[in-house]
Amino acid sequence: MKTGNLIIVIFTATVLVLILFVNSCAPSAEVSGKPGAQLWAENCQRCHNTPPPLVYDDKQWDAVVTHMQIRANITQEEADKIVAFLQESN
Amino acid sequence: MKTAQIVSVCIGILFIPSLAFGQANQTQSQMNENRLKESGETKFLLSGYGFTGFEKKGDESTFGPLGFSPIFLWKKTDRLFFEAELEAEIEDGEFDIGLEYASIYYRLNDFLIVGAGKFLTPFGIFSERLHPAWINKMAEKPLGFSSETGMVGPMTSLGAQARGGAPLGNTKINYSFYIANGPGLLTDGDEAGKLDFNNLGDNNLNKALGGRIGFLPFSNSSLEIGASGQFAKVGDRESPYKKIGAAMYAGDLSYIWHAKSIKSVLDLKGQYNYLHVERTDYSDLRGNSYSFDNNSSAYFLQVSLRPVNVDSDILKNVELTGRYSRLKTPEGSEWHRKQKQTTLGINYWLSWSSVVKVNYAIEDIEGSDSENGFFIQFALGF
Repeated sequence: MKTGNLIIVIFTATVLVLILFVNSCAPSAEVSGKPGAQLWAENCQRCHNTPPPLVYDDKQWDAVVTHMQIRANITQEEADKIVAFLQESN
Repeated sequence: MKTAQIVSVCIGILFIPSLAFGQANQTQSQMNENRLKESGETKFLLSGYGFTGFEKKGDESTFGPLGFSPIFLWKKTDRLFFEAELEAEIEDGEFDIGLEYASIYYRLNDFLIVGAGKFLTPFGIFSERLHPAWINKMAEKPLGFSSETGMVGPMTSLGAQARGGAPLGNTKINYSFYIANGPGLLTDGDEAGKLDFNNLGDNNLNKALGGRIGFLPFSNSSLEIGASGQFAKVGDRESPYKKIGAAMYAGDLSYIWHAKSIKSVLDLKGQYNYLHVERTDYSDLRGNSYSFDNNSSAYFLQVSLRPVNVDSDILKNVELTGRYSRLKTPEGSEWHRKQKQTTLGINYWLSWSSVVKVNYAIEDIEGSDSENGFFIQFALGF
Protein backbone atom coordinates (compact mmCIF):
# COMPACT_ATOMS: atom_id res chain seq x y z
CA MET A 1 0.00 0.00 0.00
CA LYS A 2 1.33 3.43 -0.88
CA THR A 3 2.24 5.77 1.96
CA GLY A 4 -0.44 8.28 0.92
CA ASN A 5 -3.19 5.64 0.99
CA LEU A 6 -1.93 4.30 4.30
CA ILE A 7 -2.21 7.78 5.80
CA ILE A 8 -5.77 8.07 4.51
CA VAL A 9 -6.75 4.68 5.95
CA ILE A 10 -5.19 5.47 9.36
CA PHE A 11 -6.71 8.93 9.36
CA THR A 12 -10.18 7.62 8.51
CA ALA A 13 -9.95 4.84 11.08
CA THR A 14 -8.99 7.41 13.72
CA VAL A 15 -11.93 9.61 12.77
CA LEU A 16 -14.38 6.69 12.91
CA VAL A 17 -13.11 5.38 16.24
CA LEU A 18 -13.22 8.85 17.72
CA ILE A 19 -16.74 9.57 16.50
CA LEU A 20 -17.95 6.20 17.81
CA PHE A 21 -16.23 6.96 21.11
CA VAL A 22 -17.60 10.47 21.35
CA ASN A 23 -21.13 9.29 20.61
CA SER A 24 -21.00 6.99 23.60
CA CYS A 25 -19.70 9.65 25.99
CA ALA A 26 -21.71 10.91 28.93
CA PRO A 27 -21.12 13.62 31.53
CA SER A 28 -20.77 13.05 35.25
CA ALA A 29 -23.57 14.17 37.55
CA GLU A 30 -21.43 17.13 38.61
CA VAL A 31 -20.99 18.32 35.03
CA SER A 32 -24.56 17.67 33.87
CA GLY A 33 -25.85 19.61 36.87
CA LYS A 34 -24.00 22.80 35.95
CA PRO A 35 -26.26 25.80 35.29
CA GLY A 36 -25.97 27.87 32.11
CA ALA A 37 -24.44 30.82 33.97
CA GLN A 38 -21.53 28.72 35.14
CA LEU A 39 -20.98 27.20 31.70
CA TRP A 40 -21.12 30.68 30.12
CA ALA A 41 -18.41 31.91 32.50
CA GLU A 42 -16.21 28.84 32.14
CA ASN A 43 -16.32 28.46 28.37
CA CYS A 44 -16.17 32.04 27.08
CA GLN A 45 -13.05 32.90 29.04
CA ARG A 46 -11.14 30.01 27.47
CA CYS A 47 -10.49 32.43 24.55
CA HIS A 48 -11.78 35.90 25.41
CA ASN A 49 -13.53 38.05 28.00
CA THR A 50 -17.00 36.95 28.97
CA PRO A 51 -19.64 39.03 27.14
CA PRO A 52 -22.49 40.49 29.21
CA PRO A 53 -25.94 39.02 28.40
CA LEU A 54 -27.30 42.47 27.49
CA VAL A 55 -25.14 42.96 24.39
CA TYR A 56 -27.35 40.82 22.10
CA ASP A 57 -31.03 39.94 21.83
CA ASP A 58 -32.47 36.41 21.95
CA LYS A 59 -32.07 35.60 18.25
CA GLN A 60 -28.60 37.09 18.09
CA TRP A 61 -27.46 35.02 21.07
CA ASP A 62 -28.68 31.88 19.32
CA ALA A 63 -26.51 32.71 16.29
CA VAL A 64 -23.50 33.81 18.37
CA VAL A 65 -23.46 30.70 20.56
CA THR A 66 -23.70 28.44 17.49
CA HIS A 67 -20.73 30.34 16.03
CA MET A 68 -18.84 29.77 19.28
CA GLN A 69 -19.94 26.14 19.53
CA ILE A 70 -18.29 25.47 16.18
CA ARG A 71 -15.19 27.53 16.92
CA ALA A 72 -14.46 26.07 20.36
CA ASN A 73 -16.17 22.68 19.98
CA ILE A 74 -18.29 23.15 23.08
CA THR A 75 -20.83 20.39 23.59
CA GLN A 76 -24.47 20.67 22.49
CA GLU A 77 -25.71 20.41 26.07
CA GLU A 78 -23.42 23.28 27.10
CA ALA A 79 -24.46 25.40 24.12
CA ASP A 80 -28.17 24.85 24.87
CA LYS A 81 -27.76 25.83 28.52
CA ILE A 82 -25.64 28.88 27.71
CA VAL A 83 -28.18 30.17 25.16
CA ALA A 84 -31.03 29.63 27.60
CA PHE A 85 -29.16 31.52 30.33
CA LEU A 86 -28.27 34.46 28.05
CA GLN A 87 -31.82 34.70 26.69
CA GLU A 88 -33.20 34.73 30.22
CA SER A 89 -30.70 37.33 31.39
CA ASN A 90 -30.68 39.91 28.60
CA MET B 1 -7.87 2.12 -5.65
CA LYS B 2 -7.02 5.66 -6.45
CA THR B 3 -6.49 8.09 -3.63
CA ALA B 4 -9.45 10.24 -4.64
CA GLN B 5 -11.75 7.22 -4.58
CA ILE B 6 -10.52 6.20 -1.15
CA VAL B 7 -11.16 9.69 0.11
CA SER B 8 -14.73 9.58 -1.27
CA VAL B 9 -15.40 6.25 0.42
CA CYS B 10 -13.93 7.53 3.67
CA ILE B 11 -16.15 10.58 3.67
CA GLY B 12 -19.19 8.38 3.08
CA ILE B 13 -18.23 6.07 5.91
CA LEU B 14 -17.72 9.07 8.14
CA PHE B 15 -21.46 9.73 8.30
CA ILE B 16 -22.54 6.16 9.17
CA PRO B 17 -21.84 6.40 12.93
CA SER B 18 -23.71 9.67 13.21
CA LEU B 19 -26.79 8.12 11.61
CA ALA B 20 -26.56 4.98 13.72
CA PHE B 21 -26.05 6.81 16.94
CA GLY B 22 -28.72 9.30 16.05
CA GLN B 23 -31.15 6.43 16.72
CA ALA B 24 -29.51 5.70 20.04
CA ASN B 25 -29.96 9.31 21.11
CA GLN B 26 -33.70 9.27 20.55
CA THR B 27 -34.54 11.32 23.61
CA GLN B 28 -32.08 14.02 22.69
CA SER B 29 -33.34 13.96 19.10
CA GLN B 30 -36.88 14.56 20.26
CA MET B 31 -35.65 17.54 22.23
CA ASN B 32 -33.87 18.76 19.14
CA GLU B 33 -37.04 18.36 17.09
CA ASN B 34 -38.89 20.47 19.61
CA ARG B 35 -36.22 23.12 19.24
CA LEU B 36 -36.53 22.82 15.48
CA LYS B 37 -40.27 23.50 15.60
CA GLU B 38 -39.69 26.58 17.68
CA SER B 39 -37.15 27.92 15.24
CA GLY B 40 -37.57 28.39 11.51
CA GLU B 41 -36.96 32.09 11.54
CA THR B 42 -33.60 33.24 10.29
CA LYS B 43 -31.37 34.44 13.09
CA PHE B 44 -28.89 36.90 11.71
CA LEU B 45 -26.10 38.90 13.28
CA LEU B 46 -23.58 41.28 11.77
CA SER B 47 -20.61 41.04 14.09
CA GLY B 48 -16.87 41.41 13.66
CA TYR B 49 -13.98 43.57 14.73
CA GLY B 50 -11.77 46.44 13.72
CA PHE B 51 -8.36 47.69 14.75
CA THR B 52 -5.91 50.47 14.14
CA GLY B 53 -2.70 51.64 15.71
CA PHE B 54 0.80 52.98 15.51
CA GLU B 55 4.10 51.17 15.26
CA LYS B 56 7.77 52.07 15.38
CA LYS B 57 10.45 49.63 14.27
CA GLY B 58 14.06 50.75 14.18
CA ASP B 59 14.12 54.26 12.71
CA GLU B 60 10.79 53.85 10.88
CA SER B 61 7.40 54.70 12.27
CA THR B 62 3.89 54.63 10.83
CA PHE B 63 0.24 54.67 11.73
CA GLY B 64 -1.34 51.32 11.04
CA PRO B 65 -1.94 48.59 10.23
CA LEU B 66 -5.66 49.22 9.99
CA GLY B 67 -8.18 46.44 9.73
CA PHE B 68 -11.94 45.96 9.43
CA SER B 69 -13.39 42.45 9.54
CA PRO B 70 -17.18 42.17 9.41
CA ILE B 71 -18.53 38.75 10.36
CA PHE B 72 -21.90 37.55 9.08
CA LEU B 73 -23.75 34.89 11.06
CA TRP B 74 -26.96 33.28 9.82
CA LYS B 75 -28.71 30.57 11.79
CA LYS B 76 -31.25 29.37 9.27
CA THR B 77 -32.71 26.53 11.34
CA ASP B 78 -31.71 24.78 14.51
CA ARG B 79 -29.35 22.62 12.45
CA LEU B 80 -28.28 24.84 9.58
CA PHE B 81 -25.76 27.62 10.08
CA PHE B 82 -23.66 29.89 7.86
CA GLU B 83 -20.76 32.10 8.84
CA ALA B 84 -18.51 34.36 6.79
CA GLU B 85 -15.85 36.95 7.47
CA LEU B 86 -14.49 39.58 5.14
CA GLU B 87 -11.10 41.04 5.86
CA ALA B 88 -10.17 44.53 4.71
CA GLU B 89 -6.76 45.78 5.75
CA ILE B 90 -4.27 48.55 5.11
CA GLU B 91 -0.76 47.36 5.82
CA ASP B 92 2.60 48.67 4.59
CA GLY B 93 0.72 51.36 2.67
CA GLU B 94 -1.34 48.90 0.65
CA PHE B 95 -5.06 48.13 0.78
CA ASP B 96 -6.10 44.52 0.65
CA ILE B 97 -9.49 42.84 0.93
CA GLY B 98 -10.24 39.16 1.12
CA LEU B 99 -12.60 36.47 2.20
CA GLU B 100 -11.23 35.14 5.47
CA TYR B 101 -13.80 32.36 5.70
CA ALA B 102 -17.26 31.39 4.45
CA SER B 103 -18.72 28.05 5.51
CA ILE B 104 -22.03 26.25 5.75
CA TYR B 105 -22.54 23.89 8.69
CA TYR B 106 -25.12 21.24 9.41
CA ARG B 107 -25.55 19.65 12.83
CA LEU B 108 -26.13 15.95 12.25
CA ASN B 109 -26.51 15.12 15.93
CA ASP B 110 -25.39 16.44 19.30
CA PHE B 111 -21.85 15.20 18.75
CA LEU B 112 -21.23 15.87 15.09
CA ILE B 113 -21.33 19.03 12.99
CA VAL B 114 -20.28 18.85 9.35
CA GLY B 115 -19.34 21.85 7.28
CA ALA B 116 -17.92 22.90 3.93
CA GLY B 117 -16.40 26.03 2.49
CA LYS B 118 -13.40 28.13 3.38
CA PHE B 119 -12.71 27.84 7.09
CA LEU B 120 -10.18 28.75 9.74
CA THR B 121 -8.07 25.62 9.89
CA PRO B 122 -8.38 23.64 13.11
CA PHE B 123 -4.63 23.25 13.32
CA GLY B 124 -3.69 24.29 16.84
CA ILE B 125 -5.69 27.07 18.47
CA PHE B 126 -4.20 30.33 17.22
CA SER B 127 -5.79 30.46 13.77
CA GLU B 128 -9.26 29.37 14.88
CA ARG B 129 -9.62 31.03 18.26
CA LEU B 130 -6.94 33.59 19.08
CA HIS B 131 -6.04 35.57 15.97
CA PRO B 132 -8.77 38.31 15.97
CA ALA B 133 -7.24 41.59 17.07
CA TRP B 134 -9.59 42.03 20.03
CA ILE B 135 -8.76 38.49 21.28
CA ASN B 136 -5.03 38.44 20.50
CA LYS B 137 -3.34 39.85 23.60
CA MET B 138 -0.57 41.42 21.52
CA ALA B 139 -0.62 43.95 18.67
CA GLU B 140 1.28 41.55 16.42
CA LYS B 141 0.82 37.85 15.75
CA PRO B 142 3.55 35.46 16.93
CA LEU B 143 6.49 34.63 14.66
CA GLY B 144 5.49 31.95 12.17
CA PHE B 145 1.77 32.60 12.61
CA SER B 146 1.33 35.43 10.10
CA SER B 147 2.00 35.98 6.43
CA GLU B 148 4.39 38.81 7.35
CA THR B 149 6.84 36.46 9.09
CA GLY B 150 5.96 33.35 7.06
CA MET B 151 3.41 30.73 7.98
CA VAL B 152 4.50 27.48 9.59
CA GLY B 153 1.12 25.80 9.27
CA PRO B 154 -2.22 26.64 7.65
CA MET B 155 -4.39 29.61 8.65
CA THR B 156 -7.40 28.88 6.44
CA SER B 157 -8.37 25.97 4.21
CA LEU B 158 -10.86 25.32 1.44
CA GLY B 159 -12.60 22.00 1.91
CA ALA B 160 -14.92 20.16 4.27
CA GLN B 161 -14.79 19.33 7.92
CA ALA B 162 -16.44 17.27 10.66
CA ARG B 163 -16.23 18.37 14.28
CA GLY B 164 -17.80 18.14 17.67
CA GLY B 165 -17.34 17.91 21.39
CA ALA B 166 -18.56 15.58 24.08
CA PRO B 167 -18.44 15.22 27.85
CA LEU B 168 -16.49 12.32 29.27
CA GLY B 169 -17.26 12.07 32.97
CA ASN B 170 -15.69 15.13 34.55
CA THR B 171 -13.60 15.79 31.46
CA LYS B 172 -14.35 16.76 27.87
CA ILE B 173 -12.99 15.75 24.51
CA ASN B 174 -13.36 17.52 21.20
CA TYR B 175 -12.32 16.85 17.64
CA SER B 176 -12.06 18.58 14.27
CA PHE B 177 -11.13 16.70 11.10
CA TYR B 178 -10.92 18.16 7.64
CA ILE B 179 -10.15 17.42 4.02
CA ALA B 180 -8.94 20.37 1.97
CA ASN B 181 -7.08 21.44 -1.13
CA GLY B 182 -3.98 21.80 1.01
CA PRO B 183 -0.84 23.85 0.44
CA GLY B 184 1.19 24.04 -2.74
CA LEU B 185 4.97 23.80 -3.04
CA LEU B 186 6.85 26.83 -4.37
CA THR B 187 9.77 25.63 -6.47
CA ASP B 188 11.21 28.75 -8.12
CA GLY B 189 13.35 31.68 -7.08
CA ASP B 190 14.26 32.59 -3.56
CA GLU B 191 11.15 30.94 -2.11
CA ALA B 192 11.90 27.44 -3.44
CA GLY B 193 10.83 24.84 -0.91
CA LYS B 194 8.37 27.10 0.86
CA LEU B 195 4.71 26.13 1.12
CA ASP B 196 1.97 28.38 -0.25
CA PHE B 197 -0.96 28.06 2.13
CA ASN B 198 -3.17 30.27 -0.06
CA ASN B 199 -3.64 27.39 -2.46
CA LEU B 200 -7.30 28.06 -3.16
CA GLY B 201 -7.32 26.25 -6.48
CA ASP B 202 -5.84 22.82 -5.89
CA ASN B 203 -2.51 22.31 -7.66
CA ASN B 204 -2.82 18.51 -7.76
CA LEU B 205 -5.28 15.63 -7.37
CA ASN B 206 -4.22 14.95 -3.81
CA LYS B 207 -6.17 16.42 -0.92
CA ALA B 208 -4.79 17.40 2.46
CA LEU B 209 -6.09 15.50 5.47
CA GLY B 210 -5.82 17.03 8.87
CA GLY B 211 -7.37 17.56 12.21
CA ARG B 212 -7.09 18.35 15.86
CA ILE B 213 -8.06 16.49 19.01
CA GLY B 214 -8.52 18.50 22.18
CA PHE B 215 -8.82 17.27 25.75
CA LEU B 216 -10.07 19.24 28.75
CA PRO B 217 -9.09 17.24 31.84
CA PHE B 218 -10.74 19.47 34.46
CA SER B 219 -14.49 19.80 35.03
CA ASN B 220 -14.27 23.62 34.97
CA SER B 221 -12.78 23.59 31.41
CA SER B 222 -9.81 25.67 32.61
CA LEU B 223 -7.19 23.54 30.86
CA GLU B 224 -7.21 22.35 27.26
CA ILE B 225 -4.42 20.53 25.53
CA GLY B 226 -4.55 19.72 21.85
CA ALA B 227 -2.66 17.82 19.16
CA SER B 228 -2.98 18.51 15.43
CA GLY B 229 -1.65 17.07 12.20
CA GLN B 230 -1.96 17.60 8.47
CA PHE B 231 -0.67 15.46 5.59
CA ALA B 232 -0.65 16.28 1.88
CA LYS B 233 1.14 15.99 -1.41
CA VAL B 234 2.17 19.53 -2.23
CA GLY B 235 3.83 19.50 -5.68
CA ASP B 236 2.12 20.59 -8.87
CA ARG B 237 0.39 17.78 -10.74
CA GLU B 238 2.42 18.00 -13.96
CA SER B 239 5.76 18.85 -12.35
CA PRO B 240 8.72 16.77 -11.19
CA TYR B 241 7.64 17.65 -7.66
CA LYS B 242 4.24 15.91 -7.87
CA LYS B 243 5.21 13.18 -5.38
CA ILE B 244 6.63 15.53 -2.77
CA GLY B 245 4.69 15.30 0.45
CA ALA B 246 4.47 17.53 3.50
CA ALA B 247 3.58 16.66 7.05
CA MET B 248 2.91 19.16 9.79
CA TYR B 249 2.16 18.77 13.44
CA ALA B 250 1.11 21.08 16.25
CA GLY B 251 0.66 20.92 19.98
CA ASP B 252 -1.30 23.54 21.87
CA LEU B 253 -2.12 24.54 25.40
CA SER B 254 -4.65 26.85 27.02
CA TYR B 255 -5.00 27.37 30.75
CA ILE B 256 -7.07 29.82 32.80
CA TRP B 257 -6.33 30.15 36.49
CA HIS B 258 -8.30 32.26 38.94
CA ALA B 259 -5.61 33.35 41.40
CA LYS B 260 -7.81 34.33 44.33
CA SER B 261 -4.88 35.39 46.52
CA ILE B 262 -4.05 38.22 44.09
CA LYS B 263 -7.64 38.71 42.85
CA SER B 264 -6.52 38.07 39.30
CA VAL B 265 -7.02 35.82 36.32
CA LEU B 266 -3.94 34.26 34.77
CA ASP B 267 -4.27 33.27 31.12
CA LEU B 268 -1.65 30.98 29.60
CA LYS B 269 -1.61 30.10 25.90
CA GLY B 270 0.92 28.30 23.74
CA GLN B 271 1.34 26.50 20.46
CA TYR B 272 4.19 24.67 18.76
CA ASN B 273 4.11 24.04 14.99
CA TYR B 274 6.48 21.75 13.10
CA LEU B 275 6.53 21.41 9.34
CA HIS B 276 8.41 18.87 7.23
CA VAL B 277 8.55 18.82 3.42
CA GLU B 278 10.20 15.84 1.73
CA ARG B 279 13.70 16.57 0.48
CA THR B 280 14.10 17.33 -3.21
CA ASP B 281 16.30 19.34 -5.57
CA TYR B 282 15.61 22.96 -6.51
CA SER B 283 17.36 25.32 -8.92
CA ASP B 284 18.78 28.63 -7.76
CA LEU B 285 18.63 31.84 -9.80
CA ARG B 286 21.83 30.84 -11.68
CA GLY B 287 20.42 27.41 -12.56
CA ASN B 288 22.51 25.46 -10.05
CA SER B 289 20.84 22.55 -8.30
CA TYR B 290 20.69 22.46 -4.52
CA SER B 291 18.69 20.80 -1.79
CA PHE B 292 18.24 21.08 1.96
CA ASP B 293 16.46 19.45 4.89
CA ASN B 294 13.13 21.23 4.62
CA ASN B 295 12.03 21.47 8.25
CA SER B 296 10.51 24.56 9.85
CA SER B 297 9.22 25.24 13.31
CA ALA B 298 7.54 28.07 15.16
CA TYR B 299 6.14 28.41 18.62
CA PHE B 300 4.87 30.90 21.13
CA LEU B 301 4.15 30.92 24.82
CA GLN B 302 2.00 33.75 26.12
CA VAL B 303 0.94 34.74 29.60
CA SER B 304 -1.36 37.51 30.78
CA LEU B 305 -2.50 38.62 34.19
CA ARG B 306 -5.54 40.78 34.89
CA PRO B 307 -6.68 41.74 38.41
CA VAL B 308 -10.38 41.47 37.59
CA ASN B 309 -11.49 41.09 41.21
CA VAL B 310 -9.83 44.14 42.77
CA ASP B 311 -12.02 47.04 43.91
CA SER B 312 -10.42 49.69 41.71
CA ASP B 313 -12.41 50.27 38.51
CA ILE B 314 -9.25 51.34 36.72
CA LEU B 315 -6.94 48.59 37.92
CA LYS B 316 -9.39 45.78 37.15
CA ASN B 317 -9.25 46.76 33.47
CA VAL B 318 -5.46 46.65 33.28
CA GLU B 319 -3.83 43.52 31.88
CA LEU B 320 -0.12 42.72 31.91
CA THR B 321 1.03 40.53 29.03
CA GLY B 322 4.17 38.76 27.93
CA ARG B 323 4.96 36.50 24.99
CA TYR B 324 7.99 34.59 23.80
CA SER B 325 7.95 33.54 20.17
CA ARG B 326 10.45 31.73 17.97
CA LEU B 327 10.72 30.90 14.28
CA LYS B 328 13.18 28.66 12.49
CA THR B 329 13.12 27.96 8.76
CA PRO B 330 15.41 25.53 6.86
CA GLU B 331 19.14 26.10 6.80
CA GLY B 332 20.36 25.96 3.22
CA SER B 333 17.21 27.50 1.81
CA GLU B 334 17.10 30.99 0.32
CA TRP B 335 14.53 31.92 2.95
CA HIS B 336 16.42 30.61 5.97
CA ARG B 337 15.54 32.58 9.07
CA LYS B 338 16.24 32.07 12.74
CA GLN B 339 14.41 34.60 14.81
CA LYS B 340 13.17 35.02 18.33
CA GLN B 341 11.00 37.70 19.84
CA THR B 342 10.08 38.69 23.36
CA THR B 343 7.09 41.00 23.67
CA LEU B 344 5.96 42.76 26.80
CA GLY B 345 2.78 44.75 27.03
CA ILE B 346 0.10 46.51 28.99
CA ASN B 347 -3.51 46.31 27.84
CA TYR B 348 -6.35 48.48 29.05
CA TRP B 349 -9.87 47.12 28.52
CA LEU B 350 -12.45 49.80 27.70
CA SER B 351 -15.22 47.19 27.48
CA TRP B 352 -15.38 43.40 27.35
CA SER B 353 -14.33 43.49 23.67
CA SER B 354 -12.48 46.81 23.29
CA VAL B 355 -8.85 47.12 24.22
CA VAL B 356 -5.90 49.47 23.92
CA LYS B 357 -2.59 47.61 23.76
CA VAL B 358 0.85 49.04 24.32
CA ASN B 359 3.63 46.60 23.40
CA TYR B 360 7.39 46.60 23.25
CA ALA B 361 8.99 43.79 21.23
CA ILE B 362 12.64 42.75 21.54
CA GLU B 363 13.75 40.88 18.43
CA ASP B 364 16.80 38.78 17.75
CA ILE B 365 17.35 37.78 14.11
CA GLU B 366 20.39 35.59 13.43
CA GLY B 367 22.80 37.17 10.94
CA SER B 368 20.85 40.38 10.68
CA ASP B 369 20.41 43.64 12.51
CA SER B 370 17.63 43.21 14.99
CA GLU B 371 15.00 45.91 15.23
CA ASN B 372 13.07 46.28 18.44
CA GLY B 373 9.53 47.53 18.00
CA PHE B 374 7.04 49.70 19.83
CA PHE B 375 3.34 49.22 19.12
CA ILE B 376 0.08 50.82 20.13
CA GLN B 377 -3.10 49.16 18.96
CA PHE B 378 -6.77 49.90 19.53
CA ALA B 379 -8.96 46.88 18.82
CA LEU B 380 -12.72 46.67 19.05
CA GLY B 381 -14.98 43.64 18.71
CA PHE B 382 -18.63 44.27 17.91
